[in-house]
Amino acid sequence: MTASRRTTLIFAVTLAALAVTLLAPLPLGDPNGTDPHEIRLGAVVVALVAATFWRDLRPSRPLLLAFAVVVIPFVLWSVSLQVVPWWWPTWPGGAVIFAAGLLQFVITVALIEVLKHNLGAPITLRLAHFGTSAAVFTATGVVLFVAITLALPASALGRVGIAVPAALDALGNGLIAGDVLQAGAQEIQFRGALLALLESTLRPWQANAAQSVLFGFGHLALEQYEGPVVVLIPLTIGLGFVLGWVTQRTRSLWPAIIIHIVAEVAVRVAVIPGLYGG
Amino acid sequence: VAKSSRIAAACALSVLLAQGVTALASAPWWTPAGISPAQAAKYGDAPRWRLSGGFAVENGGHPDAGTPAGVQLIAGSGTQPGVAIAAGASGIWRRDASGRWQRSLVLLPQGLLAGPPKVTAITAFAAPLSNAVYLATDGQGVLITEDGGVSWIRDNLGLPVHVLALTASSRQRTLFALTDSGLWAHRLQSFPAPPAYSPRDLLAHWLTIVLIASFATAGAIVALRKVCQ
Repeated sequence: MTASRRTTLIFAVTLAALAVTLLAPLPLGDPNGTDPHEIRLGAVVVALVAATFWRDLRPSRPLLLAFAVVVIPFVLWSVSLQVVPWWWPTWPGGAVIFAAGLLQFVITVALIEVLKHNLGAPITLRLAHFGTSAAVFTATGVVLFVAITLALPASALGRVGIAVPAALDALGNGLIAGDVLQAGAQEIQFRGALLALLESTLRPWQANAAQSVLFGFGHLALEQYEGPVVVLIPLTIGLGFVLGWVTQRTRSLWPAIIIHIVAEVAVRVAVIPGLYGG
Repeated sequence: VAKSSRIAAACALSVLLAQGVTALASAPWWTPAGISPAQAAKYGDAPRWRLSGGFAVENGGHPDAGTPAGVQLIAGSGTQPGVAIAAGASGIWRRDASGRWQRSLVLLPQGLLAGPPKVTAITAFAAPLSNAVYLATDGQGVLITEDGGVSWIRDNLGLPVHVLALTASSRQRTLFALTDSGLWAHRLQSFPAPPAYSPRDLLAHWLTIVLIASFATAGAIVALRKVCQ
């Protein structure tokens, strides 16, 4: 079996295991909200990584560790959003989101360091370079993102308006800072670690397609997302593919980080308020 | 390739299943009113706030000299004295209990070449039933604020988006919306209490979830072993 075929199959099998773990129990949906789906996602990834210490599964370890770099920080982010308000009920909402974003970012960086130095995984995060082409792609990407989101039907995206006092509060109380950290962490996970690892065995477009599929379907795990999934998933797969392509083209992760931050802030101030309540 | 295709098909099927479950869980909040607009208008509350010579006036109060210029619509909830939402050519404004006016909401364009939707009405229950103030638009349905205009969310599950008029009836505990597809009603109701599960049901629920996750993991390990050989 070729290395590229093996990587594709390992990727597909792991994605399928996560999809079944996340989606199959949905019909048992618990209205009390006592079903922490993040825990079972994290448990499956930890179990699969642990299984790679079995000699027969060793070739799959680097890719499964890359999955862990994506899933474990998300699990900790999501769980901390629920545990912190319960443990420290006086913390304001913005501080909780900031703390969760910071935790996700720190754990992401720490896991990548483990991957790079302890296991010798072929990961280059492309953070050292930001040239003219990266600057041009960043500016073009931001303008195109705003234009495309304005052109799409507002009802599909949940885009209605900007509540000025709430947006100003979000800037001051840590909500936006938390979103910025989260966007940075996700870029390092998907367009940084995962893409670099996949590129070591797959063709660039195949590696990019794979990471964007995981990025898109990963949004299904956002429990608080109550909007139109049928729009969100293709949109995030497309956004992930474009960000991956820009990263490959400019050989810099910075354009993807900056465009993702703009997208995250736009969603926070203009899209999320439109989604809740229908 | 065939195996990968089957896995991809299974993933797609799971996503469709999840969407179906989500759709089933979304019961509409708005339903056809079943009465005429004239009847609905008869039920409507006497407004708590009105405009006089361009100035905002609350029942029993004086005209507010700080009212933003150009406002044409105004309403405030019966539970929040002094707090009002106003709209007009200059935008959508909020007045807090201390009398300070501040821009509340900037409606976004409905498309790249289209402008923002027109605000057609603002209303609230005059009786102290809820903190909500409702804002109707011709294109984005109804928006609701429950914190005096600090934040807004959409409140139009099941409602057509072209809302031409809106009135609240405290007596009927109902909000009536006149749309380009007839008259719709949204009746105030308490959120249902969460169901109580017996420890036995919860145990069965959790065991099933653990079993599913275990099968998924075991299946993946078997498949990965084959791939890695």
